[in-house]
Amino acid sequence: MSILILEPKAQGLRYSVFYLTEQPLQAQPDVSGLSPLMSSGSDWIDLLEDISECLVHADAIAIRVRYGGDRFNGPVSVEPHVLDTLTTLTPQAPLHLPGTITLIESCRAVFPAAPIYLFFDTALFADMPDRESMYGISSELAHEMQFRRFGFQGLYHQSACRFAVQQSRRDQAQPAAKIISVCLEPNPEISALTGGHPVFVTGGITPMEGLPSETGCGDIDPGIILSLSERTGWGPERLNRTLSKESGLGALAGHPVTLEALYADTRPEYEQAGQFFKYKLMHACGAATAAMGGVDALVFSGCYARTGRGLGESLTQALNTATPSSGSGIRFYLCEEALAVSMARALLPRLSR
Amino acid sequence: MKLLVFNCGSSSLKYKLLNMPDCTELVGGEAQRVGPPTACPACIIHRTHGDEMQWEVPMADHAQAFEAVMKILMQDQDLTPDAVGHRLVHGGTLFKGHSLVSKENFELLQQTRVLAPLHNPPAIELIGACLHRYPDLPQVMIFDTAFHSTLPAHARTYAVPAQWRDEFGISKYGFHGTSHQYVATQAADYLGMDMTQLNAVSCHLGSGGASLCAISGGQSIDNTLGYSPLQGLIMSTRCGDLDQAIVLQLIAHHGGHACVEDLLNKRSGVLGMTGSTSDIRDVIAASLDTDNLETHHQMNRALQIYAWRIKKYLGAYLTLTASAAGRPVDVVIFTDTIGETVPAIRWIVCSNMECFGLTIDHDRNQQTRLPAEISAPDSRIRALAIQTNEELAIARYAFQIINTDL
Repeated sequence: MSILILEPKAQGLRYSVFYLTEQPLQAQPDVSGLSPLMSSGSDWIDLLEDISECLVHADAIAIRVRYGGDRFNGPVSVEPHVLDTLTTLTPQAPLHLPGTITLIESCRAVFPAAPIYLFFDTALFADMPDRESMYGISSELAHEMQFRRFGFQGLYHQSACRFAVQQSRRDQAQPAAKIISVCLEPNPEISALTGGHPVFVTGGITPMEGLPSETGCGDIDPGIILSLSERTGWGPERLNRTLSKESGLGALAGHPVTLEALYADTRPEYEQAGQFFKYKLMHACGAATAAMGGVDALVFSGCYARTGRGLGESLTQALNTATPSSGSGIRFYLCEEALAVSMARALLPRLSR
Repeated sequence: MKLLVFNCGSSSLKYKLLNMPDCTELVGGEAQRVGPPTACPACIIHRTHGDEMQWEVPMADHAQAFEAVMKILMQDQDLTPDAVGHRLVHGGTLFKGHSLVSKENFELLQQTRVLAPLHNPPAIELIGACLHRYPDLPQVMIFDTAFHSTLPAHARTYAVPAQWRDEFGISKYGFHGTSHQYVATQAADYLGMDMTQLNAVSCHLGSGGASLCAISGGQSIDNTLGYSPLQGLIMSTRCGDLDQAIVLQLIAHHGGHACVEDLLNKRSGVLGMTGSTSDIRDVIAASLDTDNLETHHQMNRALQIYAWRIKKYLGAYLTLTASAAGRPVDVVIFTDTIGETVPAIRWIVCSNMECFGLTIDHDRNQQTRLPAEISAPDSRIRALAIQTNEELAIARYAFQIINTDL
């Protein structure tokens, strides 16, 4: 059996192929790669035909989808009504969903017999309590403009949470129930999960709210945007471009920087940005702890999960100082499993049904 | 010395004449509903020797309110002030500490109007009127932002381009500093601690604005309000934290930044969520009414969202303060109208916080006489409800400056 996992990313399309045998799922895919950014449906088809050459037969395809609103609270197989729903959600995620819909159609053209499953990053947060997902603005306006908080790294959080439960069971014979999941991707995000259900997340109606990213400002005072709008005379698009592409850790360091380099390199200009990011993490972890009424474990995931080794020491020290009632102490784990492996694992039970 | 203190709100003017240095109040009061006419007439409530009097007086702006208040004070020659202290909400980068009013810094002060458009302009007009009436009296400006001048760089900085930070002064300034500092000092006295050793989280929950302040070693290390009085907690009509995309979408689709500024400052927060009231006390009362289920659900949801935001920030500040101090926080303080008089909010916020060592006591939390200790006897972190007194704090700082600088 062969399955194909597709992850549209800012830099292009990441593909991973798994040849499944009787053995447990491998930690790495059998074939993987990152294609350059695609611009049209015909390009997708060319790429998928290239991939098809290394697949004898695609038994299933799983596609990572960045946004599903509150309409999808778990993976779904692609049926006509699913595509219709995705189309209606397009105005809320205009940068992601049109490309995803084209990708689905291309997959159908190249692999007509393969069932296609969609895994949504927002699904984990579709049923989050109102007190966390709603803002302090007009209820009518929020409803009209779909202003509701989601997380945007839900698939990482789910995978990391499962990993932390396994590890804590092994370490302490007691599975962690209250987990802070720190996803260290270029757009980092923290979520607090109690029994696997999110009660807190730093993301907002877009991934720009919350932690600062490599190029995005993260949380800022709404008054700053109003003031800049007035004083620069810039329109929303230009302000958005600067706040999302020319701000963040790069703006503090003075040049583009990755989260990994920020803590691996001792360049003096990284010190302020490094302290700033660590402070924001600590802030979010404190809020997450209050949201859960305690914390058992922290877990780091994402492409910079290893950076969590140093950060985890600082964060657990801060949390252990602030919550002396946590008894034996809070542990942290690094979940370095590729997202494609997590998606493949989640797909398997559906195929065997 | 008789020191006259003015605390200028967006639609009110509180005043107090105190004998210094013993801080005894000679008279005090408040001009209410200053500005455009409202459903209720503008009035002045004046207190003297335990009596309270009320007059209806039309007051179209704070200069008229000032004249009306002075007319009352001047009825008694013994009430002529020797000095004046003014509260200013925002000092920006130009005023990092409290200072005497001079011709030069009064001109500089004009540049801070834009930073707090609801609060600074009327306070500046008031100083101008005072200078006109009392050109020879020492006058002191007490800035709410001054207490937060100790914010470390990582708390003060926004991750926006350096050019914006430098050119437009984009930085966290923090607000309610006079109140946070006052109640923290009171808490240190209550606990028998030196203020310089105090680690605290102060919750200033007003009927209008609200903020939390993280205090380590007696100094402010973070505040939920930021560059403007919009960030942080959900307030009576202000939105608090928002995804930047929301602000940008509103600017694009709801009439430009002036309309959005009005929307986020005056028609959001509790008022926006409920559509009917900006007062969380009304929300609590309506959430208990189960006769109208739709209203009950709407109000209960608004209450939960309001309190949840406070709770999350409390957890964040308990962690950041403990980390900065290297030990758990000593005390959580509740103050101002909601913090002092609404036990239900304190209860929701402090419930399920035992992991931090904070346990609230149900019966103690019902106390109405302040200061009140509302934490359980075995709570590692103490919790206090303390009455704020910004006018008294202003008088103390102003007196100190007058005696130092003159």
